[in-house]
Amino acid sequence: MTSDRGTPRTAPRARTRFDMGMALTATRKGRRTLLTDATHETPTRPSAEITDVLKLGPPAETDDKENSSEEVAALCSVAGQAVESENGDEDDEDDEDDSRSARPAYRGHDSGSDSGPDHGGGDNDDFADARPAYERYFQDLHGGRGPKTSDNTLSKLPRLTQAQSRAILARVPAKHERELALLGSLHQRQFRQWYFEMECGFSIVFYGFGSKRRLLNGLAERLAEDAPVAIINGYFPALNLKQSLEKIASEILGLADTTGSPADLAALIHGYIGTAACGVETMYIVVHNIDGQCLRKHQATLAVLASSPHIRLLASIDHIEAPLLWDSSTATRFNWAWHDLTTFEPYAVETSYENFAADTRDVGPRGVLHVLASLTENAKGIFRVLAEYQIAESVMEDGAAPRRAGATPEMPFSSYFAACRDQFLVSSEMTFRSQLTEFRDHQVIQSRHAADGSELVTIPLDAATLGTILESMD
Amino acid sequence: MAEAYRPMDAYDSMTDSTFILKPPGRQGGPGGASKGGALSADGGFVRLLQGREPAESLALRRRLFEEMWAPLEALLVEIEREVNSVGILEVCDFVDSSYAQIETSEKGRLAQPFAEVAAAVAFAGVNTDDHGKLFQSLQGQLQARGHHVALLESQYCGLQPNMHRCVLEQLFGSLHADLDAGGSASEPRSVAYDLGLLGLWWAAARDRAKQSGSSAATTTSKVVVILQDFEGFPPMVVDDFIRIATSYCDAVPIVLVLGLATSYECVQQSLTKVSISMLNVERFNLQRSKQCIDTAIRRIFVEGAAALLFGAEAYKSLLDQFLLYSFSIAGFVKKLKYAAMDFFYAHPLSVLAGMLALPLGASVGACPIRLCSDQIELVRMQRSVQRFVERQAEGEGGKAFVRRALTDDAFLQDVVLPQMLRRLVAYRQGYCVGIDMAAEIQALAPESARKPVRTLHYYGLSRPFDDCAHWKALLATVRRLKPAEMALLLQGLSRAAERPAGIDWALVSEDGTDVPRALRDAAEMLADPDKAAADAPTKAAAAGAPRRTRARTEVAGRPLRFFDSAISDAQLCALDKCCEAVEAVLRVCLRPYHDVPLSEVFYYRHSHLLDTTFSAQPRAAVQTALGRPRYYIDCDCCAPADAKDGVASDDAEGEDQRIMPTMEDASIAYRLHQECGRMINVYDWYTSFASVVEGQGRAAPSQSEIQARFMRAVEEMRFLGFIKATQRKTDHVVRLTWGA
Repeated sequence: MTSDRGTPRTAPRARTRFDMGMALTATRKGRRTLLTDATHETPTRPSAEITDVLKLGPPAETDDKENSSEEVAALCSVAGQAVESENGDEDDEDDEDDSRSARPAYRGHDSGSDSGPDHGGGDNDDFADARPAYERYFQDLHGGRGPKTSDNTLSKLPRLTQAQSRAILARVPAKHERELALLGSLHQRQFRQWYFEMECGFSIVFYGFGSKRRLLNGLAERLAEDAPVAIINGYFPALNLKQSLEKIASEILGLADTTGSPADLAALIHGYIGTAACGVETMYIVVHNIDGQCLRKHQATLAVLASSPHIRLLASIDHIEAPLLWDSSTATRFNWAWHDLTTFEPYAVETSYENFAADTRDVGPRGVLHVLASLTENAKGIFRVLAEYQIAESVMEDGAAPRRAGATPEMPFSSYFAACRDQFLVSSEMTFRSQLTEFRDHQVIQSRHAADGSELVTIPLDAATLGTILESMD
Repeated sequence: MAEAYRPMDAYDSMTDSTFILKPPGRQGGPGGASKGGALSADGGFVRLLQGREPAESLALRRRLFEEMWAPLEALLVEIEREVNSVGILEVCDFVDSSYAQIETSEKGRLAQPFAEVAAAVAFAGVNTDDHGKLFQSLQGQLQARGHHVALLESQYCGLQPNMHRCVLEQLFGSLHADLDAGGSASEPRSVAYDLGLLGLWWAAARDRAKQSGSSAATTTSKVVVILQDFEGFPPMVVDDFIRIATSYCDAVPIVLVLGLATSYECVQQSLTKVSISMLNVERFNLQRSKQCIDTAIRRIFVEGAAALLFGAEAYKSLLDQFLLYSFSIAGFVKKLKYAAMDFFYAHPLSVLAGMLALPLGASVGACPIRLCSDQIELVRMQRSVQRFVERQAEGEGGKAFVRRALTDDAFLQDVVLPQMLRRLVAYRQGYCVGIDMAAEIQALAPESARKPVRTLHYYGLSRPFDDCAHWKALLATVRRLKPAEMALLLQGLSRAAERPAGIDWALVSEDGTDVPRALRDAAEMLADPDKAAADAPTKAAAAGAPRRTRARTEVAGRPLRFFDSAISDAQLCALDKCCEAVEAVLRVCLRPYHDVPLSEVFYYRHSHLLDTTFSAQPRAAVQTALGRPRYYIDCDCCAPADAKDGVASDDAEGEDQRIMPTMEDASIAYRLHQECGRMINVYDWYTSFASVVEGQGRAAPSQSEIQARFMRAVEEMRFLGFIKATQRKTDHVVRLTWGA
C-alpha cells in the first residue's frame, strides 16, 4: 500500500476484495456468478467516471448496481474534502471507493432481486452486521435458513503437495521482519526473568499467536548450560508420553527399570529426582503444545511432574480453548504463571502434520504414523506384514532391473491374507477386508486389480521411509 | 513416491518427539552452545537502571527477597495450620471415639444387629486447591494419634482394584515400618490387592502390639480411609468399597472420612440407599478459608509483617481473586509471592526495604547499602518525596534543607531518607491502630454494619476518610452512644492505641496529633462533664439558655441520645466533644497512604501484572494479535492511507475495518472468516484471500504461492481452534468462535 497508494489500481482491488468476501456468504445460488462478474468488471471501471459524476451531480439513471442514494451520500462526504484540497483528488477517490465498496458487500443477504436499484434499502443493508454476535449465532444455528454457502469446491484449484507448498512458502518473503525481530528480542530479554520465576517454584505457560518453538528451544539451550533439559514436542501426532518419560528416566536420571503406566513413571521420576542417589538436583521439561492431541489426557500426569520442586516445567499452548484442560486442582499442581509470547511466526512444524489441504492421495509418512497411532496392535501387525514384504522385495530388486520407474512392490491379496492369518492377526477374510478398507480410507494402503483379475495391494511409500516407520512403531 | 522427510531443525524429527539436552559437562545432546551469560548467574536477577545498578544493590535485592519471603511463607503456613486445627481436632476426636462400644467389650459387637461403618463427612469448601494441604495435615494428626491412615485421591481410584491397591499400599506402607521393626520383612508388591488381607494384617498387627506391650495405643487405633475429593470418585466404586468395608468392619475398625466440596446432597445422590444405610455419618465443617484470609491480611497487611504492602488496586485484585473466584488460600499466596518477586526483581528502589528494617536510632554505618546516584535521583522523583521535601521548606532553615536534599546525594540518603522511612513506619503503626479502633467501634454497631478486617483494610486503602460510607456509619454509631457506653468505648480505643509499643505519634500525622492523649482527654472530660464545662465557660455562657433547642437541631440525626432526657447539658456537651475526638483520632489514623513519603515504592501497584500472570486470557490475546495486530506489530505499512495522512487518525474503529495486503496471512484469513457465517466455503474463502493479497505493492504473487499461503493460514486457524473440518458439505469448515 505504501508505493502505489492512490493509484487507480488500488481502489478497484479493495472493491474486489469486499465483493469476494461477500461470495463467501452469498445466500443464493447463482449469486456468486454475478459477483464474480462484477469482480471482472470492476478493474476495468475507470475511476475517472467517479470524478465525472462529481462534476455532474447525482446521476440521472443508475444502471450500475450501486445505490444512487449511497452514491450521493458518498459524494457529499467527498465534496467537503474536495473543496479543501484541489490536489488531494486521488486520495479522495480512495476514500470514496472504500466507503462505497463496503456497502454492496452485505446486500446479498437480503436483497431479493439481483438487478435493479433498491432505493431506501440502506438500513436493511446494515442489519446483518448490526446484530449482536450471539443473536447471529442462534440465528445461524436454529434459524433454519441461515446464510447458505456456495457450492464451489477446492477441485477448482490445482493440487499442491505438501513438499511443493513447503518449497513455495520458503521463497515467500516474510512480512514485518523488522518489527517481529524487535518483538522477538523483547521476548528474549525476559529469559532471565523466567528463569527466576521457575527458580521460585512457578511453572510457566506461554500463550499468544505464533509458533513459540524457536524461542523456547533457544531458551532450552540456555537452560541446558546448567541442568538437563527434556524437550517434548506435544504437537507430534504419534507422541507417546510413556516413551518420553522413559527416555527422561533413563537418560537423565539413569534409571534402568522403567516400566508401568505414564502415571507410574511420573510418580517414579517425582519420587526419585533430587534424592541423594539420583545426583540430578534440578531438571527442566519444555513441552511444546501441552494442549497437543496426545497430551490432552495426560495432564494429571504432567501435573505430578510439575509439582516436584526439582522439576521446572515450561509449556506452550496454542489452542484458544486450551485453559479448559485444567480443573482447579490440576492447575494448582501446575502452579502456572502465564506469559504472553506472541511471535507471529508461522506454525511450520506444528501444522506439518495436518493434511488438511494437501493432496489427499499422498498421505506421506507422517500421515501414516498418525493413522497407525490410533490402530489396534493387530492392525499394526497387518501393516507391518506388508511393509516388511515391500522392504524385502525392494532389497531383492536392487540387483535386478526395476520393472517400472518409481513403482513400489505389490503383494497379491491372497498371499497377504495368508501371511496375516499365519501370524494370527486375522481369523477370517471378512475381518481382513474390513481392516484393509480402513487402511484404504486413510490412503495408507492402495490396491488395484491386475490384468489376470487378482488383487494387488501396496503401501505407496519407498523402502527407506517404511523402515523408519517400522522403527518408530517399535 | 514420498520424498524423505527433512527436519526443520535439531528438535524436529519424524519419529521422535522427545529430546534431551544435557549440560556441557556431560556428553550427549545436540545443544549446549553457550552464548551470553548463563541465565542462572545472580539467580536470574538483572541489573536495573539500564544496567547501571551496582552489583551490591542487585545482591541486596536478591537477599532481601529471600529474607522477606521465607518468614512470610512460614507465617502463612502457620496461620493456615492454626485456623484449620479446630476442625481437624474435631474429626480426630470423632475417629478416636468411634466404635467405642465394640472396643469396650465383645458383647458390644454382638449386640449390633447390623454392620455400620463410621463415617465423617467433612465439608471442606469449594477451594479444592487447598484441600490437599488440609487433608494431609488431617492425615498427619491422625497418624500422630496412632491411627493407620490412607489418603485417597479420585484420580488414582477410577476402578475398584486401583482403589483397593491405594488403600492397601498406603496402609501396608505404614505397616511395613512395623514389620521391619518386628524383623519380618515381606514384599508388598507381590500381594494381590484384596481387602481380605486387611483383616489378616490387622489381627497380626494387634497381636504384635500386644506382645510388645503397647496395648493402649493399639487398642484404640483405627484404620482411617480418607476420600479427599468425594465428588471425583465414581459412585459405583465408593459404593462397592463401602459394602466391602462393612463386611470387614467387625474385624477391622474402619473409619471413612469423606471430603466434600459441595453439599451432603452429593453423597445422597451418588450412593445407593443400601450403602448410605451402612454409614454412621457425622458431619464436620472444615471450611475456614475466610478466617484464614482475614488472619493473614491482618498479620501481613495491617500489622505489616512484610516490607511490601499492597496498594488499593493490587489489593483489590488479590481480594477479588479470593472472594469472587475460588476462596483459595493457595491462589492468594501465589499472587502475594509473585508480587514480592516482582517488587524485588524489577523495582530499583526495593533495596530501601533493607533500610526499613533498621531500628530507629541506627547509625549511618548500619545502613546496608549506599544508593547509587540513579537510585537517589529516582527517590527524588517520587511525588510523595517531593511533597515531603516541600513541606520542610516552611520551617526554620527549611530552604537550606530543601537545597541540600535536592543537590546533595549523601545528605538525602543519610538524613532525609531515614526521616521519610521513619514516617512511613509510624504511619503504618498508626494505621494498624486505626483499623483496630474501627473494629472496636464496629463491635458496638448492629450485626449488619460489621465488616471483616479484609474489607476494613480495603476501605482504609482505597478511600479518603471523608468519602467512605462505612467510616461515616461507624461515627454515627458513636454518636448514638450513651455516656456509659462511650466511656467503655474510649477505654477500648485507648487500649487499642497503646497496644503497639513505641509508636512515635508525632510522626504519624502531619500535625502530630497524640492519639492516646486525645483519647485520655476525652475520657476525662466524659468522667467529669461539669468540670469540662467550667473549663470552657465562655463557650457555654455564650450558648446560654437556648442550647437545649440548638442541640435539638444539631442532633437531628442522632435520635437515641436526644430522647434520653436524663442526660444533662454538660454531659451532652461532653459527649459531643468525645464524638469529635473519636472522629479526629480515626481521621488521623486512617488517612490514605498516598500522602506518606515513599508510598509509591512500598505500596505495590502492578495489579495488571498480577491479573495477566494469573488470570490470563489466551483466547483474547490470540484474537487481538490476529484482529488488531498493531498492538503487537507497530508497523507503518498496515496503517490505512488516510490514517497516515492524519485525516482519520483518531478514528480507530474505522481503521480496524480495513484488511490490508501487508498484514500477516493468518490475520487476513482471520479477518475474512469473521465476515462469514457458521459454515465457510474454503474455495470462496480462498478467492477473497487472493483478492486481498493480490493488492500487494510488489509484483502480484503467483497463484500457487497464494494457494500455499492460504492453505498455511487455514491450517493455522484450525490449529488454533477457530475452525474445524466438517463432513456436512464438501470443502467446508465450521466456524467455532463468535464475537470479537
